[in-house]
Amino acid sequence: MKAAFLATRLFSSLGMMAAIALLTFALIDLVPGSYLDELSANPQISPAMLARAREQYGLDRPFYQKFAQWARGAARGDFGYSFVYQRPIRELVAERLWNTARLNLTALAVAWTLGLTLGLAAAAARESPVDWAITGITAVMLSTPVVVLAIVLLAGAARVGVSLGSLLLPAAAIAAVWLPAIARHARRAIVSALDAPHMLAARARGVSRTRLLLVHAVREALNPLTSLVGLSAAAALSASLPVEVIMSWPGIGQLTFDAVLKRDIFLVVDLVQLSALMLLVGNAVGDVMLHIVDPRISGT
Amino acid sequence: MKPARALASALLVTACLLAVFPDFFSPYSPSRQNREQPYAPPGRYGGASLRWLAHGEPYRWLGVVPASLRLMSVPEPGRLFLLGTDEFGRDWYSRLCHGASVSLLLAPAAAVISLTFALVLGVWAGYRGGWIDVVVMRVSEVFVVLPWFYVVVALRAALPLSMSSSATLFTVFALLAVLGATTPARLFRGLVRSEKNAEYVVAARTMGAGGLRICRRHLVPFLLPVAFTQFLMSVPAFIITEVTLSFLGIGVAEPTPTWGSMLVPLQQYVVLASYPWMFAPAIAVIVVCLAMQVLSRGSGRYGD
Repeated sequence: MKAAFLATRLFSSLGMMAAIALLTFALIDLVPGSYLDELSANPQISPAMLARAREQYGLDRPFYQKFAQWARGAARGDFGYSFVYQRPIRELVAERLWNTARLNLTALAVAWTLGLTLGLAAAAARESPVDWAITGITAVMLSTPVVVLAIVLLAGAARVGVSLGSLLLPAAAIAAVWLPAIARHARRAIVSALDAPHMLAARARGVSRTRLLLVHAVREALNPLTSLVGLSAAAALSASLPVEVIMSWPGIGQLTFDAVLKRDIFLVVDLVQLSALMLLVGNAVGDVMLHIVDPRISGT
Repeated sequence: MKPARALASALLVTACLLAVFPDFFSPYSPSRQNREQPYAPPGRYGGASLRWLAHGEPYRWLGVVPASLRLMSVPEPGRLFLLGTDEFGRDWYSRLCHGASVSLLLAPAAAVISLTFALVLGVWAGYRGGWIDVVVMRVSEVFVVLPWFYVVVALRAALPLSMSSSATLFTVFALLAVLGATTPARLFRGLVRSEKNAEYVVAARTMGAGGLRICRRHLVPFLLPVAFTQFLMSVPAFIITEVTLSFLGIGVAEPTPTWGSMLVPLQQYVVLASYPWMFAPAIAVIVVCLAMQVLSRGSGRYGD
């Protein structure tokens, strides 16, 4: 693993994240209305209290000063204060971070295991009803919005009455988002590996069909699939937001959604940054793992 | 593959007709309520006799020209509910037709904006190189690692919740279009870089063609088939984004029918379990996206 490459990428990503935070603050500034404006409708809160809160949180300052204040705090590990929850954001996030990470890791594990299996099955039974069935199923899954899948899964679980582990249901919904893409790419990679002349040579030498498929072709096919790891992590994280909301999973996605509805601006900015950071960490870990699997890969 | 493509094209053409002329194809206005018939199953009510191409409830062609001709209608007081009704007794089929306008007109419009933007950036970056190249590459790299749905939700947070629903949707789609432009821009840049030294481009340059002319007459036409495949792949993404945002209540809100906002009643378990016709918009989304997939897979080497 080239440390310089990782460092460059991390650095440019951090720069971009700062730019996005600045942009978010600017956008929020452009728009009238804030959490405090909603509070002003409450007769128990006096205008003086509101003015004090405004001053305390720096809400009356222009967006670049808000950004500077936020960035200074973030650099020190202080991510600000949530108006809605009346708690430091760091505490709030710490409780939920592991839930989202757990959910997404499970979903990714399911998606990759099932996706690779389906891809392998389709490639092994090329141009047969099994292959067509897998192509059809993946096509339908690709076209189904994750929210529809989530509610159908919920309803199904409720009707059958089985009490699945609470993690399994949302994980299944998230996994379904990238499973079809993984299955298709796996099928294509394995098929093209099987078509290579050296596979024919191996057949001629008497290597069994199973060994050819499971050992020779899979090993070769893993390489083109590596570029999907980062993309699948991004897709899973994106899909986890609606799924967390629908299935009441106490994670980062649900918190973000809530913060958006209540216009808790610092919380929104922090959470978007956090999700980007989770993805960066996930990608870096993925790169290192791939490097261990195949030392020729030094990240893309 | 041939019959599947023909079927997909036919489906899409039908859906687009519904989207452009929703009033003609539907028996009622999307907001007409029949409070005494909530969640009525599909069928004819009150001894209605179906009339083809007759005058029904008045509406405006394309929102301008007053008209009242409808493909199907039933004389009052009979009722025709092809796909049943919702909580307020609104004809679900009529709402489905009107909802198609958003999915099938706004989403493709956003995709066109996005790809035009991507085409300009990609051709410029690929042909010229230099700072624009660096910017396009860096920005697209970062967008690949951003969980875009969080960004969309955050951008939505920056818009006032009280904005009119069509303005909201338009803004969200415009933002998505710009954000989404970077990835195809990267693809176009790569293709332009490999193509700009092709013989015909070099020949054009030796004949004295300027950079703009080469891009317009040679490189852009070369990219168009790829752009079309990209278009077919990005429209479903826009449709599904609208569905997700509206379903969560931060996209298009009632009473405007869109396929996303029409799925909101499914959040109630009773509806989900007992009124299967309420799934119609979900089926419509799946069918339209499937049809686009079938077409995009057949339409080019750069498919996916």
